[in-house]
Amino acid sequence: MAEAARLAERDSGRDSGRNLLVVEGLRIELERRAEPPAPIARDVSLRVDEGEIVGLIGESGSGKTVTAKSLIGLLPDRIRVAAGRAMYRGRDLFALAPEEMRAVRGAEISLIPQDALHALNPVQIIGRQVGEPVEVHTKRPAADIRDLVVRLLERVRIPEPRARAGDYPHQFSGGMQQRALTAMALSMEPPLILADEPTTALDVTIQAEIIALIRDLRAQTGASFLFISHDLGLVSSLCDRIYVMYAGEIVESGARGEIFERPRHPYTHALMGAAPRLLGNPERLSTIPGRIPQPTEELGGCRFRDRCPLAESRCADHPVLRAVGEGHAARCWLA
Amino acid sequence: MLVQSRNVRKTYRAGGLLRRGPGIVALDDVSFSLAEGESLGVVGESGSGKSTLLRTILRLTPYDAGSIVFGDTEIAAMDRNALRRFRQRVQPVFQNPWSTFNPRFSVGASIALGFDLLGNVAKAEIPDRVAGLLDDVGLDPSLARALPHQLSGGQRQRAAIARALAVQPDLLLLDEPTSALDVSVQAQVLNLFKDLQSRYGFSMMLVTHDLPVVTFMCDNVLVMKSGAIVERGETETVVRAPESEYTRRLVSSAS
Repeated sequence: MAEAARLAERDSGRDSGRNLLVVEGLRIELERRAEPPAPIARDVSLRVDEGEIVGLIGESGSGKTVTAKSLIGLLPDRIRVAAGRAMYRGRDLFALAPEEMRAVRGAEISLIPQDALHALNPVQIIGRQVGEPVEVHTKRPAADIRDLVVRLLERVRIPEPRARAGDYPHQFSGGMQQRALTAMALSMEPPLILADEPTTALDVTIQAEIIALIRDLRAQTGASFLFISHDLGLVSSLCDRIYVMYAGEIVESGARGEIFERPRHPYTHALMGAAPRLLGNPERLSTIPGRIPQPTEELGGCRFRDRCPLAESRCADHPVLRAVGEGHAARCWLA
Repeated sequence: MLVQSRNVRKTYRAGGLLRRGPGIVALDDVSFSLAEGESLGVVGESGSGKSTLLRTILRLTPYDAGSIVFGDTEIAAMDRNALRRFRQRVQPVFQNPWSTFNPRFSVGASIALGFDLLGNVAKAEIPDRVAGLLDDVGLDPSLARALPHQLSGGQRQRAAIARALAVQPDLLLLDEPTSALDVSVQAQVLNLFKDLQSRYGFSMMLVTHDLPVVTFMCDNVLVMKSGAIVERGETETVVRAPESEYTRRLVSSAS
């Protein structure tokens, strides 16, 4: 299975652009006390090219956040990578020793977490926290780091950055906290930034600012982003390529236009019909019958089968992710 | 009109030991009306006053000036009996349904409290009525015996809606009712509100920062900023041709 997914991923590959990160056959498991471990991400293969903004979308329990966290060794207790590899610039991230991972985290690959307030230390000033990755990874003098922090805060458009660097997190609004975390993630100019729903808790106009900021950063620094979100609108406006996850696996991948204009997996299709639009809404939103399964559930066959309007007998076999168009793959027999 | 609000003002005094300074204007001359069976959206960002407005209408937050008339009674002037009746006719549904349920009561028991309040339902009938409500909101009636933590987020929000409907309200006040839900679950809950409204005819006031949710759900919309209404009108007209700069920004951020 992993092999098939890898081939599909390769076949769906765009040849231009260099691969920065290539994940193949990733399986993440939850260790349980009395029972054997249960998978929460299955056979996940994805890639991020240099300078690309890649979207990873899915609902609760789809496995999108654990997939991202596994890449920088931040999986919670009892959750571990059971199979697969993640090649980043010639090295397998999953094979790194803890101290090697510490050297990668923040410097090579950084994370903008979802919940800004809880990600910041409430009793330490913002400037110190934004400069921490640089303090940890380099031997630069403190005065240098302070200047860098001011420039970083300026770049994420914190007004009066020199003065505000001395503020504590509670003195920042939610949008400013999120921007400070973004500044922190950028401090080492890492080539790859994992953004885990970085705008979910924010007002729409601030959301728009963070998105503009990510676009600018890509243009200025050439950084790549893996942008994790449940928000289809946001992903469609920001990302070059998109992976859709459902119940622990990738069910569709392709360029933004392909996914949004020609969705081939019934789940992707249903998800788009379920989101209200600004104009031209139908009288009722289309819904998906049943409930979102737990990623650990063993369903047999296609994991979307029970909820799929098109399901037929061959869906009792688990489908592989296969090419369905130019750079476009779907895990569906009918796609 | 079911609700008429005229020039409602609410100011929070600035904090600090000496409590000087002008304070924060949370509601600034807010006037609007809501007809029977209407669904009215209130959009704005954090701090725009939209949640304060909702709490004011619920009579959870007193206002400093102006008037809010529900039916034909000024809500600030309601006596105990009027207030009791008012609390039955106006029901909130919040973003976080946890706050709706006693964690140690079964879902059915929480919903049944509404029938106690109504006082016109025979004890023996209550289990059937609870089962009927659960069925109305698309939940299996056997979930009446479940505790709140045994439900998924979407199920809990449906149960909160069932609880609100138990007292046959005239007005549902919805504060970001689907913001914590997944897209596919949100679609189910939004459809449910529409279905129930056409069946029971209640009015809805929906507070959210999510403009597409409002255009799907609401006939009319109020746009709030810094405590004041900056734009109002028929939802589609406002979205197609926003007049204030702020509404234009909201619309362009949402599209």
